[in-house]
Amino acid sequence: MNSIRFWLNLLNVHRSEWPIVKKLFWLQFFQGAGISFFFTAEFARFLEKFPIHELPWVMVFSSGLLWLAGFAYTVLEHRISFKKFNEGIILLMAGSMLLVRVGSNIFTGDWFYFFSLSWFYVLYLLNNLEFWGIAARIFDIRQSKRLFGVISAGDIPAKFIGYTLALVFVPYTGTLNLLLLGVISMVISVPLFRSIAKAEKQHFTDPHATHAVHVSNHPIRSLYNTFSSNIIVRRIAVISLLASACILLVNYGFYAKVKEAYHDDVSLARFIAMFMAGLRIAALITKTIFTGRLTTSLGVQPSLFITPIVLLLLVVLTLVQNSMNPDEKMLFYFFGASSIAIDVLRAAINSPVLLTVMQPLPTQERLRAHNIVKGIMDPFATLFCGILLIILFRIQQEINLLTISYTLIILAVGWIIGIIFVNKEYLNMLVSTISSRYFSQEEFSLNDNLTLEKIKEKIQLGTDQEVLSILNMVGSKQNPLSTDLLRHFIAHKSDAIRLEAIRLISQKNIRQLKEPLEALLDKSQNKMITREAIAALCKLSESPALVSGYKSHPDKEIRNAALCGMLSNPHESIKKIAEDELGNLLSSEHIQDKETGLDILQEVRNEYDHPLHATIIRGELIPSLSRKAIDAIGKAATNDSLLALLSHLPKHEKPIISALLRAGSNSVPHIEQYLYQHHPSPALASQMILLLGKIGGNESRMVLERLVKTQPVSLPATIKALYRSKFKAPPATRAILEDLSRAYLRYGVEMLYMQMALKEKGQAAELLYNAVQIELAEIRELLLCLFGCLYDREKIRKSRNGLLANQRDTIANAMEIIEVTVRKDLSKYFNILFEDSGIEERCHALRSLFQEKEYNALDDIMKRILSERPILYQDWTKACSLYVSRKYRVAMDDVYFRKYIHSENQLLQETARYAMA
Amino acid sequence: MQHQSSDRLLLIEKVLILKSLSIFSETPENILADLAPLMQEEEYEQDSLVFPEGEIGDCMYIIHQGKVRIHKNNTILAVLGEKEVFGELSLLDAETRSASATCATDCTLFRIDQEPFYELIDSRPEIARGFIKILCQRLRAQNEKSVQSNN
Repeated sequence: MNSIRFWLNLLNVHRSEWPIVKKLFWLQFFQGAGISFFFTAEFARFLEKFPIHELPWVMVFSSGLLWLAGFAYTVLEHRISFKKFNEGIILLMAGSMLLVRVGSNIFTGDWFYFFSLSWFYVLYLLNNLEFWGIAARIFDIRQSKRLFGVISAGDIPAKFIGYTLALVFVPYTGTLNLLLLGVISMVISVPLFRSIAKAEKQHFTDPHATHAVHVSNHPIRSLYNTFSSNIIVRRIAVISLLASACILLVNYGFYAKVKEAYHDDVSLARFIAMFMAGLRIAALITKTIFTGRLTTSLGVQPSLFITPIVLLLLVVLTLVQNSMNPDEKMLFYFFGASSIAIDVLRAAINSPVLLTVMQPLPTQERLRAHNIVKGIMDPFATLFCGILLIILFRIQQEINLLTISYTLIILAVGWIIGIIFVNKEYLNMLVSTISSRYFSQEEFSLNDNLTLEKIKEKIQLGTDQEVLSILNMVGSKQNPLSTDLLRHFIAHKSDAIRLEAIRLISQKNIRQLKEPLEALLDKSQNKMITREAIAALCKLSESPALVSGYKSHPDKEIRNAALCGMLSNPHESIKKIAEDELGNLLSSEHIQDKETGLDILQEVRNEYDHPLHATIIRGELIPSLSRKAIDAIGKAATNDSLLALLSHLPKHEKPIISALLRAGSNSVPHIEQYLYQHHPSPALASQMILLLGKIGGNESRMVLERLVKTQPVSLPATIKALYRSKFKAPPATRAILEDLSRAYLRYGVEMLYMQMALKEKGQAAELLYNAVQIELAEIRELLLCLFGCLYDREKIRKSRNGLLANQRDTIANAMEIIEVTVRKDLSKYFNILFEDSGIEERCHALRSLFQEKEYNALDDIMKRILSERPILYQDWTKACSLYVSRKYRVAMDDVYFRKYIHSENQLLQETARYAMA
Repeated sequence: MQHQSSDRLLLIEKVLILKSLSIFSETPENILADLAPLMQEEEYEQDSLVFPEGEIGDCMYIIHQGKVRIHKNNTILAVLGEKEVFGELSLLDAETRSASATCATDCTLFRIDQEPFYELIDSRPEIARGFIKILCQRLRAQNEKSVQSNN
């Protein structure tokens, strides 16, 4: 048991993933062995028959074959079911090997040697497309990072064993019969493939598990579109091309010198087999042990640099050595070492990481990207290298390793630059993949005549709904409003649009439109429009004489509308008249007058507050009016009104909280004072703190920053409020928030250990397990809020949405964003804590953060929860512990229950009484 | 015939009942804990009418024990059992009941009224979120069905 765990930990594989990882490993093992037999046989036969400078022609020839194969693959993969198609590929590979074996006896011409070696490249491509296509469907981005190295490692022992067997058998069987061993290996992989298809049915039938993906009827066009429209695919394709070209060149240079040393096909085959076997064992170790860990600890982006930088260093070293000691043998050894290192790094790091980079793409796009990278760019690389080498040989009449070295330097630099561009685009891709596809309103300019004409046309011809949307859009613009445009809105036939236009004119204080408003007032029969127009005119008017007619109008509605407008008027003389009138109403002995006064106050609550308002809020004279007075609190509320408002707490909690929110930043100092001086209940304190977050602004943020440092009991609410207020941690607070993040990670780990202990402990534990899950969700939320305050808020928001969507892919992509946005020591543990994998593996990976003794018994966990350690826990979790203790007779001391008997929370209090009974 | 039950369930038990309903399955228990106090336990004898067709609905029912017939005159549309709900749309929208509900056996029902539910949504929007999520799922399933039947 422990040894299994050891191996799984070493390989970085989770227990639940092990069965499929094992099968994929063996699939790649047998297919890799088959291909290595084929390569050894055909390469040795070719080198024996032709000089090495003929090899570039094979490259040119194979590029054509690769394109044809890639084209056929792209066309057919969407027409045939995923399972049948891949099974067909495996059978085609096996069948073609057999045909080459039979064909070798029939066709003795040179062309067949060229064809059969070129076919190796096709086999290699088909195997790649088939295997990575399967792996990409089964695993998400986070799994890919850990597992691609391990599953593809099957290829390495396969090739190691393949080449070793070739080394042993070739003296006895001859090179050609190695092809039969290749056929057998390929055929053995068929049942393995079927078993994978059966176990992963959902991934094989439905590419996205939850929704159907519609396939294009024009696969080539889709490929082209993916290539031309997707920046990251284009960039990956370029670096893939450069990588393949480097590897082809470095291998060519090496084989050229090998050919000079060995002359017959058997000795060539033995050398190739021995060299390849050594190469594979090195790659196997690198791949299984280091690749997953390297990509997890370094991150995907830096890992991409490893191979080209190593190549560059080796080639530079080769050149330096050669300049100091121009010995051909040394050059050969250096080239051999470079060839080994690059081949190992490509197989162990570059290919898996490059595929991992593409994992966040949507399924179909990802598969198309694989086809582009492997099916189209590889042939380009082969063609490019073939032509380059032919030209070089024509010019130099020899294979010059120094020329190849300089070419390699140029290509490696290009490769590194390409990686920089890929990395730049990687985060953008993650963010856009996770984003919801909301309609985003394009910016438009109201100074542009053409736009204005278009809008006017739409106002004339559009539906009411459309015109209202345009009006809202125009109203929300920051740049100055076009009065000409507003004239069109006022003249619209719809009352609703006219009403909105009047409100907008009043709100934005557009005095130039007083005349059209007066004209509208004369014509309109609609009471609402009349009322709004009078209020707007009284607000915009500059002379008391002009408003006096409305103020003393016999119709009460018109009088009130006029008062509302006048109270918002910036001219003090006009405002004073209305203020006196309102004072009369509020101090009247008649309750109806007071109510009218409060109605007016409510109407203008964001622009004006009256000194008598506070007295009515206190309700000392008429208590029944205080609720109405509370509703009249708005942005313009005075300090007196706000103090009067807070004097009601904890009564009228809901309307008061709403009123404080309406008052906005004016209420912030009062909320702070209340929190420090009145020590409200935790529930009310949380509400008030969250309110500060909703109000936002600098003042709120400063109060919240102080609260983080001084009020540990209300920390969860304060953290959420900070995030809500769009707080960006200044350097002085960063350390505090990072420490809090670390603390919450530790608490999260403790919750996870609790869950591990509660697993499989029956019905009683299930209730607690679910409650602890809610605690973990809360901790995740708090950590995301903290990350949002510390790092890129927008990216954290996207990540949060991805986690909330709760789909396997969205979670994986969200964690990837966390990994690249949040500092390493936090993101690493966050992702392990909340990833979608077994509890045991997560606990094991997080054991360094767990400082308590491991939980064994149910009552240990319940005691911990009821003692409110290490966190305060939600009332629900504590209630569950109390309930379980009585319902399932878990013996516990009464001391744990007592403090909850008088809890403010009804659920907690009731369950505590039940537990004590 | 309706009675108030004397054998009262604990709030925590009511939460667990709510959580077991498909309509609240997406809402976490700590949020449902605020909804549980709104559940009024009512007992009905066999064949007693819970509500008639055409009545304006302003509450939903959860069957705790027993079976309820949903019918239009004498045509039975469905027989609902424990942990099933009826009239749930009335929580969001007061409309006339499209069918009658009668107890097929002695029943214990929980009733949630629209007005306090609305008030709760004000302070706990998460409850509406879970509820809306399930209604959306139903709507999508219904759309899918109609597309299939049209095809």
